[in-house]
Amino acid sequence: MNKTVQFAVLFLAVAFIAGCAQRKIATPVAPLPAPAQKVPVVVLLKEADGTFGRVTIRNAHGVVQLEQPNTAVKIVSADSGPGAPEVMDDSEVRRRFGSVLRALPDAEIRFTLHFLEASDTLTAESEALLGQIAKVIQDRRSTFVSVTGHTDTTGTDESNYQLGLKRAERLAEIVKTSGVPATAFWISSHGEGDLVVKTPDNVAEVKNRRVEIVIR
Amino acid sequence: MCRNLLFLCPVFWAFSGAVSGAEPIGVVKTLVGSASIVRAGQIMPCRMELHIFVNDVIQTAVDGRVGILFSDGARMALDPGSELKISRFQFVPSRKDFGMVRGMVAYISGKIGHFSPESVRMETPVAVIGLRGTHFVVSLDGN
Repeated sequence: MNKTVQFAVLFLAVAFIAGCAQRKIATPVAPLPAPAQKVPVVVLLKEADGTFGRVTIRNAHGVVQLEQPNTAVKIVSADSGPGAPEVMDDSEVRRRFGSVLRALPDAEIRFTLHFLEASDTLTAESEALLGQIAKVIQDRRSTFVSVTGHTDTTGTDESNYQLGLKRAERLAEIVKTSGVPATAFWISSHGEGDLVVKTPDNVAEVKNRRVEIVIR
Repeated sequence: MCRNLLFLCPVFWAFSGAVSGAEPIGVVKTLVGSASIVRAGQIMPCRMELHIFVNDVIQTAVDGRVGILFSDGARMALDPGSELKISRFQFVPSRKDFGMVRGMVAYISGKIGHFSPESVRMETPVAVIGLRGTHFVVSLDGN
């Protein structure tokens, strides 16, 4: 067996063992780092709801893909390809990455409020949410709140853009009265361009007559 | 929470908002120790509720830890001794590019309101990391 064949066999063996846990696009043979050495590492994790994505790690010497949560790839340097995927259990993830994971902010909070037809008057149900919205903004000390107005398909595109804007502005005005700084609001309108319930033109639909508020 | 503190906070809060009309792409929501933002060649101290814009560079000191909430719902945190540039931020299709120089970063996609899968590209000195949703960590120092 010449050296190239030996190398290829080793390569395939490594690829096969690794491939049992992970699909690999390529497994470049990289020198293993000394255990104490600090080596860059990428870890795929799952979100609180259990969903997870996919990570591809690529440099001039190879490509490795992570498709399962709690798997990690080490990259010794730019001069060698990413290593084979390894399992990293939750306790190891916490030990190594707990501090940075705890520094992740809370997710944004969203509310959707509905309006009477062709009007910037809130439905009674939505009006009841105003206190809660103001409280969330205050509790989070938010300075970045998006308020986006939407309409149903009755009326023209232009009048609906204006109506959406009027709804968003009206809502921001109401919330401001509870002490939220005016500079915290980013107001816009999508008019009838972003329907929740897809309808033909000139259809009144309360679910489309809304303002979406995102509190960060 | 102490009532006095709640009473005082809105005073600072009222002055902490936007100064320009440009919509931010994110906001600082967690901060421990010290960190800086480099924007258009100017370095400024990082503070809570600081608005973040594209091309900002975030640097954390040896005691600094920062968490950013992006306008599309994505979240990111930087451990001490990190440096990262936000080089691109696009809503539709969802795409973000980061240039990570050093340190440790955690990232979670904002799934809420996302109709198409998000794509994140993070350039590092050793490799380019591509993410299709949702949650990952990168350590360049190997901690």
